[in-house]
Amino acid sequence: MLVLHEVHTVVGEHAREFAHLCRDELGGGLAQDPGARLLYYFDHAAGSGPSYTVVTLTGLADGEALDRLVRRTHDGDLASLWRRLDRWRHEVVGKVLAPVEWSPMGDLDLSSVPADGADHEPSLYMEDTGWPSAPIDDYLAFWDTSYHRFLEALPPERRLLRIEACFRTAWGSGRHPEGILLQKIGNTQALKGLLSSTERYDPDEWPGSYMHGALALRDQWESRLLRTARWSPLH
Amino acid sequence: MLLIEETHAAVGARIDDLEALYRDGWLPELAKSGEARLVWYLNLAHGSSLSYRVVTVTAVADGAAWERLSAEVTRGSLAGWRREADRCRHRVDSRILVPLDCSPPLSLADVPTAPAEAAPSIYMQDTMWPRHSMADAYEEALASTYLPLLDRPGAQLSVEGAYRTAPGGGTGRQVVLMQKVRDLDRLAHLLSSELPESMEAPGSWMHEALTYRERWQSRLLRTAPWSPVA
Repeated sequence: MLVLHEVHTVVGEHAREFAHLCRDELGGGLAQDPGARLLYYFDHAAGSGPSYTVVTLTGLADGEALDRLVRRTHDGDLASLWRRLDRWRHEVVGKVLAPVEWSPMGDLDLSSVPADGADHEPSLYMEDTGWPSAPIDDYLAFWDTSYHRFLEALPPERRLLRIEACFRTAWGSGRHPEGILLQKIGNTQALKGLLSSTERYDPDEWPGSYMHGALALRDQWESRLLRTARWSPLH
Repeated sequence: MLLIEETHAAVGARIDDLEALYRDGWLPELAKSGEARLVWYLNLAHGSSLSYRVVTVTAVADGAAWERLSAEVTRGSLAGWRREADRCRHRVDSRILVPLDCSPPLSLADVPTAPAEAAPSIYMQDTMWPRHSMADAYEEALASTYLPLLDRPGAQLSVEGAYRTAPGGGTGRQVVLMQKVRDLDRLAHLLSSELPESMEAPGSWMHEALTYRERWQSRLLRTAPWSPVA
């Protein structure tokens, strides 16, 4: 599976129309091809980043599905929708991601992803994008052994985050080396603590062992707080 | 008065050294004269943005004081300190800010010159890029409409500083608000909830301000416990 990751800079006056167009036409339109599904529709959480910024993740079964999407949006059944979306966004920055072997999302069965725009409560995610100075394979393996497995071992009430997916940029797309973690925030109280506490980590205890150990691999990353729309297929 | 805002991309393993250089070096060095003060030492809140980013805000009395301080940092008594700091950071991005007339007053004489000891505060710093030729009108709207909203009892934020960039002070003309978060619970709610449609309806600030700007960037910043202003 591949994932098309797009960051849309939306025209402020038309932010709601953009969202409604995605809700009413994009999800269903993509699903006309069994090899494509809209997975997530996120708004960048207000007060934490750029204004009027939307992030979408679209699942693609394989490279052939990407090829079909290119044709459908250029002069096929999605071309008109693409032009209307373009009217309400200043720009869109896209990259193609490939899941890593241990990604909890795994090789998602796209037919299991709803395309009906059903309503639900919003969820908050922390998306981390890291740029290692060490080899990317070492970095991704460290995420698994020293971060993901520790998070999974925590009791749910102590777990701030749950990793839903981990990706790397596909060859030829976006920046390299780059790894992406899509993490669901399950504990708003813990998030408040994370944002407001002075960072002092004990290197002999997790998560300090992770924070200190990871410095051998990278010190540059970016976190984004993303909130799913009420109709986002996955949330 | 001018304010020099610096965003430091710290070397992860040396971020504590950078903090010590500011607390034990920059802060007392500036205190030797009456024309410059370190006001804020802040970290980008973990989990909200770029890693290992530090933001410092230094106030100087005027352009002449800025020029003298700049010379000291470049080749004078603070050049050695600056070289040490440069070993702790990958890069620094700076801008020169000028207080707006509506900004709460700040007096250099009132800024503490010794490390404070206080619980960290969270600030939401908003940088706005007004539409072309709309900067003056936007600043007027801020003063007449937005700031009074935050003067009401129970407001989630309080404006501690309102600035524009000086010529040569960054990309385009920007407006910068330093807003102290008064209630972390409400911040968490803001992050995790959709904005009610009423907040964006005609007549609301969100709606009316689109006349003047649609691009802005928020940063969540946490003061160090010793930051002169918390």
